[in-house]
Amino acid sequence: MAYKRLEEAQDQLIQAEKANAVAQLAIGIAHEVRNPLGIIMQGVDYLENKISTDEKDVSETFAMLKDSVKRADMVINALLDFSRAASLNLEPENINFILESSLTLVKTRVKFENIAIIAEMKKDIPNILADRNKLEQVFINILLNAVQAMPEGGKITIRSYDKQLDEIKNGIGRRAEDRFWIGEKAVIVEIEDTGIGIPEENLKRAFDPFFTTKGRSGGTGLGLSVTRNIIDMHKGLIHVESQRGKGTKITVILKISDN
Amino acid sequence: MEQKSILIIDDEENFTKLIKWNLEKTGKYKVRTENAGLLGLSAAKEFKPDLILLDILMPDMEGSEVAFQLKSDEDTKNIPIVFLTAVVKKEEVEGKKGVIGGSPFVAKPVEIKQLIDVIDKNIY
Repeated sequence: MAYKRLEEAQDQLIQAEKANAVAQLAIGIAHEVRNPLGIIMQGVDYLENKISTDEKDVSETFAMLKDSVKRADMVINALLDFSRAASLNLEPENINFILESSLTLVKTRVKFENIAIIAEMKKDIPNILADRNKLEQVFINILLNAVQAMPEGGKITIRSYDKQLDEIKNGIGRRAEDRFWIGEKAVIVEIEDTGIGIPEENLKRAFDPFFTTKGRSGGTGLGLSVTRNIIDMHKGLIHVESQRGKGTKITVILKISDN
Repeated sequence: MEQKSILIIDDEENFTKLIKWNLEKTGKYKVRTENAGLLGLSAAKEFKPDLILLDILMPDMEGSEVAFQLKSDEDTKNIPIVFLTAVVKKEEVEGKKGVIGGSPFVAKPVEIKQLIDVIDKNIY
């Protein structure tokens, strides 16, 4: 037990050093890329006033330039999110409150047209040790993906419960590197949609940085990567199951707080 | 209408030049630019602008230090400062209603319309 704690402490130290390096890198990139983006944006604003935009091709060109600046800026935002996920402010939290506020925040960003939300949240659920804002970001990412996977509408089921882990799986077992011991009680969240699903060939890469199937305007490819990074920092597990044409289920397993 | 005077302190010369052109084109402002923190400090004392746009990360002196010195000087302490930054997200600025740590912020890249809104909101 003492050996495992020592290993955990060493692991945390390495993670903290990595986090600091990633944060510094992200800030450096943000500074070096956003400054030229700022110049391009101001240049376009200036030329828009100088050149007649009556001709459609001119106004379209300016719009394309501005959109491209915004798209590049979006990647920088995601990179900053990615780096900030590395430092956590942990407190005992109720997972149901985090899920409810994530859902509320998602509803302000996208329209839930023809989408039914079914919440099956266990009432007396133990607290988890979590960074509330970061976990909200996790569930916002998952819920946004679910909404985007159902352009024709569908159903999202959000489940929370606690359970004694009794099955050896990736990350659950008796090895020192396992995040959860067999028999350990954990809080589990499942978010299931009835959307288009993820093709099998993409499933393994779903959490890879910069992997996206949403095309140029859809996303940065950092959303799910940030999500897994945050869950890793919480010493939790995340996995995805999907069937093409039937839907996707994301399962998150989180540590129970001692308090 | 009386023109308002703006001092821009940012080490990106092309950025300050374009903002100056864009702001002056409106006819509402007269603009002076400086591309280093120390030069910005002496320009502020001499020019006494109605508002200062101040970059945070500059090689010779950080924007926070420039702001501290401006606020410590009788001649410049009442000049409103709007920070320009490339390392804060737009959503964070908007989420905090454009104010972080008590000071108004603008996240780069910024469109001139949005920058003018912030200037007009913070100028006396």
